[in-house]
Amino acid sequence: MNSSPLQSYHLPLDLVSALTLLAEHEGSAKIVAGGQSIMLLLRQGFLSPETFVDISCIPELSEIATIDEAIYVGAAATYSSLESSPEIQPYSVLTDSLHVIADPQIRNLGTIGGALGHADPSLDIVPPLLCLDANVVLKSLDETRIVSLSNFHQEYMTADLSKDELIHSVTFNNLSGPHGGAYEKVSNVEGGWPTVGVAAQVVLDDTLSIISDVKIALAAVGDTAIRSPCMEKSLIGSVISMDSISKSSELVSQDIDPLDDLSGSAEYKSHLAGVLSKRALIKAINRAGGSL
Amino acid sequence: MRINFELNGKSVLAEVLPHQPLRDILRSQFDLTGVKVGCHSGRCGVCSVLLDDRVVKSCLLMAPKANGRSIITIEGLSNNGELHPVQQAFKDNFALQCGYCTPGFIMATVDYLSSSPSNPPLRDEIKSAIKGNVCRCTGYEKIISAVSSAITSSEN
Repeated sequence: MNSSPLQSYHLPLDLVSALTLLAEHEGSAKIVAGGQSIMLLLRQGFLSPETFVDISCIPELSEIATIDEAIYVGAAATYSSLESSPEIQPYSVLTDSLHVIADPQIRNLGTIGGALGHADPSLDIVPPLLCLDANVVLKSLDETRIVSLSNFHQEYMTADLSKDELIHSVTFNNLSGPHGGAYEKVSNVEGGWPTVGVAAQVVLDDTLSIISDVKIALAAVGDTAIRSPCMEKSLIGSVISMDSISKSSELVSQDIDPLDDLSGSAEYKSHLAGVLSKRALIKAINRAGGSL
Repeated sequence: MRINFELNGKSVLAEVLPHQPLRDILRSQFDLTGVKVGCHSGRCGVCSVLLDDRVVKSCLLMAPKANGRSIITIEGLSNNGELHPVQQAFKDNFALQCGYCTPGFIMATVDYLSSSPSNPPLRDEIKSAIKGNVCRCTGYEKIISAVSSAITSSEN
């Protein structure tokens, strides 16, 4: 460990104090939310910041609320608080994912903003948020920026975040029409990182027989979590049938670029992506009121 | 830096470094060795403690985060020598062999019991509640029985 008595740890109680600290220590301060990823990075020597700014005691950053037809989740809201929040329950694509993230201990401290800032392509929470077209709200002392989550993760472990900015919140719009979502993953151990994870969100027409909109997003199949446009295009406007779902699930491999690693070979992950896409889609359609 | 927190019901002060895990403070400054050391990476759960009544892994808890909060370790569960009902359930169900993982399992179970678990108990729900804890001796069956009986008796 690179612990040094010269390091400072701040626990600001309001947003302006946190942003001021970031501006004062530009480049050398590290934001801490739940600390569940940063502790490992510190222990492995990947980071040794001089200043820590802990944002977990700032009330507005832990809020979960519905504001103007949109769901607002503060960056320091924990996975546990999301799991038990009435605002989140209608979004089964999110609740499915929350239930399979790590374990209760990690979920009691780990936060949504911490996950997004970490930008690991294997995070379970990212594909569901991509399916919900989530935006990330970033703040610095001078500026507020709103970035679509699909643009926020630029490359492997890299987010569009300046040194003087913090992730303030994540927002997504309420869904209308008959809709349903699901998240499916396979991992080597219970509660482990996904070998592959797939989120599906569908909107059906009023007859519940046609897919009027669909979003598919995957974790652990490339440098960042990504949507599958090939699969989405083949499904939008189609009549629900097991045949069309099976065929479209085969297209997912065109949109992904998995690597061989300890969790499995690229070939195996490609296969899994197809299987899990089909599974997630079927569940999402049934939840939306369609029948398969 | 100096932090002030409530430890097993008593207000305490500790001198900590910013990225020291609370586990090391609990063991070295307060001699609470029921908080075990295992994987050092948040996988095994033997260092689990309650932070404001929710279970967390103290190897991943940056010590400054305890400031102003309440921490309960396995040592803080019994009351005047009388075992906590979860401790009693583990004892009654022979839910341990070497015992190293037991404090962590018990802390996870205490949190689970406070979150309105299904009653009659559901095996899959119990497995999800204790999935952050690893036992290398018992094969989990007796642990699941202990959690199950703790739920059943908490209703009475």
